[in-house]
Amino acid sequence: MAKFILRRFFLVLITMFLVSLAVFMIVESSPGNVAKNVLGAFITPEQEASFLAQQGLDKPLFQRYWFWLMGSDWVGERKTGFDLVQIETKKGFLEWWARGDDNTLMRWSLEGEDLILHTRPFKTPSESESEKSSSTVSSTSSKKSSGNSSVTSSSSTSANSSISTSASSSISTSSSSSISTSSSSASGTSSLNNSNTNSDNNTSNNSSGASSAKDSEIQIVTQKDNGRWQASEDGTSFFWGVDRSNHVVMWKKGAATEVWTFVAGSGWMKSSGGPQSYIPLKKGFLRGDFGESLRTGRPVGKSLFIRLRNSMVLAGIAFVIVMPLALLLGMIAGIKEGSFKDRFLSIAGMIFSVIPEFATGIFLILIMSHWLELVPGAAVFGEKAPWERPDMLVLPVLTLTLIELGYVLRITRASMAEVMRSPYIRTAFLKGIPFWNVILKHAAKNALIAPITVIMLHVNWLMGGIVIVEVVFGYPGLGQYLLDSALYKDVNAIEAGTMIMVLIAVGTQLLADILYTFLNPRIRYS
Amino acid sequence: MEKNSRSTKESVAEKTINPDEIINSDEIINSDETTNSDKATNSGEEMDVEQSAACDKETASEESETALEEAGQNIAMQRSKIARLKDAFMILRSSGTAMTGLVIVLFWVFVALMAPYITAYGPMEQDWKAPNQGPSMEHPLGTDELGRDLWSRLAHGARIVLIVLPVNEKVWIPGGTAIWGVFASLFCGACLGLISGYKGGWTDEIIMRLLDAMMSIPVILLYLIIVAALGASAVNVVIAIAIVGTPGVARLVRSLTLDIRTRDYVRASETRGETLFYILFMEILPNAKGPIIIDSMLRVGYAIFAMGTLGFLGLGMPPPSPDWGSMVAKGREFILVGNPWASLWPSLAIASLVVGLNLLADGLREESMRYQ
Repeated sequence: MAKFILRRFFLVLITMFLVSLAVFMIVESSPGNVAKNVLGAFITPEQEASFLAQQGLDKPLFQRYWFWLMGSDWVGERKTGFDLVQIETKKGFLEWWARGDDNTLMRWSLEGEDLILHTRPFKTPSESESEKSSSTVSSTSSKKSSGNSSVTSSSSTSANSSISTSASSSISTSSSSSISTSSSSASGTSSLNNSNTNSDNNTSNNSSGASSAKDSEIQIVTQKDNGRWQASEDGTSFFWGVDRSNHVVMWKKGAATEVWTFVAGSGWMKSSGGPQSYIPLKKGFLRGDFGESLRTGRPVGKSLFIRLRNSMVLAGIAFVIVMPLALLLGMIAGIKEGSFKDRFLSIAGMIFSVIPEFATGIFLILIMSHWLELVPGAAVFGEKAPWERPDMLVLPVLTLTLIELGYVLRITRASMAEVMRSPYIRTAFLKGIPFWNVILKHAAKNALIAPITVIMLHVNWLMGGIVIVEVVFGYPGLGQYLLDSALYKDVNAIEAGTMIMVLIAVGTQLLADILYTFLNPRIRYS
Repeated sequence: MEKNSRSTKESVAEKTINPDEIINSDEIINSDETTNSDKATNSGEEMDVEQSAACDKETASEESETALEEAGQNIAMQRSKIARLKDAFMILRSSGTAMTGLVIVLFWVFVALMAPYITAYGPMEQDWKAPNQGPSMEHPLGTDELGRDLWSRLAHGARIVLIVLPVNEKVWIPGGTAIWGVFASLFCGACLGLISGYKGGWTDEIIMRLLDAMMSIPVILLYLIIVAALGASAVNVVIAIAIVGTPGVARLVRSLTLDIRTRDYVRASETRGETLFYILFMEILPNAKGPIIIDSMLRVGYAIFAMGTLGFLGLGMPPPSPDWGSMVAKGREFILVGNPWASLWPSLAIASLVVGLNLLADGLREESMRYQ
């Protein structure tokens, strides 16, 4: 048994690997263009190239798949020579930083010929927790400011106006540590300032103060850092570092490219100081990082979780309703094969199970919502969780129920009818055991083995039903998310959704097999 | 002429013998393990006909006169065709559900065939003065948001499903999109299943594991990825249906092949030194076709289901074409405006056609099981 489960588990892994590879290839080989899908049809070629480069989509297929699977931070570490760490800012953004020897976190940007270093102290999670509770006072002012993270805070200001030592050629790590200590004291005063003054008061006189106000517990110090340039063979200088939007990048001195970044809501932003090549940083699928959605620029994992929860709520409620009802009706139909009850139930069940989900959904919307005006015909939750609006759940659940009911009913009926034909039931009747006793004690127990396992195998099909139902009612679930991602060719989101669906499908199949051995002791897997 | 008379005579003979043969087959099922495939088929009669055909072929091939063999095959095929048609009709007549299904399906086939003659407007003809209207004398089912006649769009939609496959704007191929999808999946599945079942060993293992992996992916996901990747067009819908259907067909064909390859006539053709292609497609496949045909009937239903679903998700035919699924998707937006008809009729159409096909298949299977 253990061997069997192990073998199946191994097969699950292989399946997931093959599927992920196939999805990558299919999405890759298909016509159409992510940049155009995400950013609109009217982007210029430079904008498109810049977008593709920043997302790492100009890399060869094999390399992208490898990065998606295993992550790319270890490649970045090899290139830069620093430890790369991922931290979560207070607003829930994930940021990558390079960690220096003395526990400061570093990122760089390029301005003209100068390399600008951004540092912040590195905190372990427990430290930052305590800091959060202490810095609630200044967080009110931080909400007023419009910048969404510290990344954008000090980008356009003259960054070298901070407490940096005059940007000489040699800035060692020891000097940066002294800066961080001095900056913490400076920021302490600046945060005091900030609590007194309005947020529009902090002009260019203290950019570090502005950044500290925006992300209350950390202080980002900027300074020139031209000592890190490395000479290449052909005489130019280059530097591999971490930029401020989670890439490991290579800058070349005097050869800054133009960067187009797309800021949602405000359009394209053109800036100089672009690097020569990008490696987007991620941890990789195997370490639990689904990557960033190309469509929304948000981590896939987070949005997927909410969607998955919504879908689970929908499927769960439908399942709880369908199972007892279908098993009961199926047994009633199967007790006497060929009777009117049987024919009626099985034909009705068949009809409901073969009508496409969207047609059933439309019928229900028209009848229940349009003509009878009982319940809303769409499921739009906004920020709310599905269970907070039960009236909107009625129609989606009803649609799913009708579709699944027919299928399970027919399986149960077939199984029941077969059991009722078997000799031991006849014997039981002839012995004079009461009718319902025979049905419940002798027949039902055996008849339910098949449906329970087949239902598990049916999950595959059920998921299809859920996707359609979600689209029909505008329900914000996993299926809708997957459909949108597929239409946009948002490969990270597709991969993540696919993996979850395959895992659920294959997992339930495995569960069905295991369940079957327990329910039917005659079967042993060896 | 001569052939025809012979074949009809033989079919009559076949008809008279039939009851005995059925009893025989029952005995065979009980006594002999090698005819397991009879159990797998849903229609015993069909299999009997084919078995006798196989017998004919066997004797002919032992004489190793190709001309005679071909003639024998032709006769056997013709006879079995006529016999099957008659049997099917008899079965249909006796089953209410099957008749209901047949009537529904025939209705849609008729509508699809006659679409240009029974509609007053073209499917893309717009009437700006009458958008979003309910049923009236001018438009029997009403109009959609662009004032297009719903009845003519429905009829032409049936055409796409059942009668023609629009390859692009100009080129149309006979045979509906759903039909082509089923055919393509039959072809791919049969090839894989035959090779896998006949070769066995590593080939079998690799093919079947790959197909298992494919089957474990949720169907809807497969459709989504394929069509989203290939783009929305009728040909791509066919490809999607084919890819999704292939594993199922391959499994069925493989299980049939595993049984058939142990038969003597396959042995004989191996001994004769026939090529692999000949053995697979001339010996094994014709003897496995009974169950495959019944399976493919159900598959047409699934294919129409899939077409509708894809159309609804916006992955079906490109917009102006009268695709049922996309008609529903478009009409859904106008329910709140007060025009439920644009989404109701195509939903009803697709539901009735799929239900009709399933009723037909169900009734046939039920009735044919009665004779087993």
